[in-house]
Amino acid sequence: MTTDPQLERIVRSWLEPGLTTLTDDVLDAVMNQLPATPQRRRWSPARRVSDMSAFAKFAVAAAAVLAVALVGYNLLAPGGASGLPSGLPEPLARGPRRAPWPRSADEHHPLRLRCRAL
Amino acid sequence: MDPSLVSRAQRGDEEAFALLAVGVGNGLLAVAHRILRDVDLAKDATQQALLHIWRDLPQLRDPARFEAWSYRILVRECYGEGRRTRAWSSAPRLVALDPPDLTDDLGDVHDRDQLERAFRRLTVEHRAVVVLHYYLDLSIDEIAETLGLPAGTIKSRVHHAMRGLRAALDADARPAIREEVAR
Repeated sequence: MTTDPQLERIVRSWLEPGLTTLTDDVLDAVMNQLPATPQRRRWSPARRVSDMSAFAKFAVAAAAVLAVALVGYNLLAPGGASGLPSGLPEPLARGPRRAPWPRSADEHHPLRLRCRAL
Repeated sequence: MDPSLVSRAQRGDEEAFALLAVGVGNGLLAVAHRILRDVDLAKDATQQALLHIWRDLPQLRDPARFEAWSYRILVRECYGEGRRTRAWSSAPRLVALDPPDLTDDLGDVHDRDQLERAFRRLTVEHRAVVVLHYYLDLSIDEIAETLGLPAGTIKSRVHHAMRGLRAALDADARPAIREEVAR
């Protein structure tokens, strides 16, 4: 705390002059706006965005961005919303691949046809 | 302030609120004017504060605390006005208040202007505690309760503000002293 009595006296004296009476224009403006200004009941939520601190606004905005990002990722990621479970291991999802068997060509091979004829 | 008036206004009685506004309005405007140093800004802050008081009045649990609660709302409105003003005007203009009384402690117009400039350089938060302490004569604890801040914060703000004002006055006095020494 300050211990400067001279300065305190100067400041008190300097603060004395100035407006001291509520002017009619201010009071009239307030009273005219009362009907359009609903009172907040005790149980109603008292928070508005304009009343929030800068940090609270930032936190709400960050949470909203995060939520949108998560929903977007789930919708757009491969297999995310296509009905397929995205956690299946790769080989099971694709199934084993076999080399094509030239069965048809082999069945019409001249040697095989000859054997059947015998 | 009559608690029954406060209770009536809490239930939406506009006549009761008008009486409350007249009762507390003088003090609110006086404090706003001394914090913001501008008649128009002070009127705007007071008007907004009174509307805010009307809107939130049903949430005031103890009608006996109406006055202190009103000052808290007013100071918040002054913070807002002060920040808005700083946002569009980096060079605050000097506005003359009433004609100076040359018989007071301040001595002359030059000292008043010096104090005015030094006060305007303070943040609105620091100005507010100076006005509540030295104009309304509220104690540190009363200011802390009014603003909902720890007493240590209020002490620190008063100390910082007064140190700034003292430094400004001393800086202005130095050239005069140097001139005297030179003679």
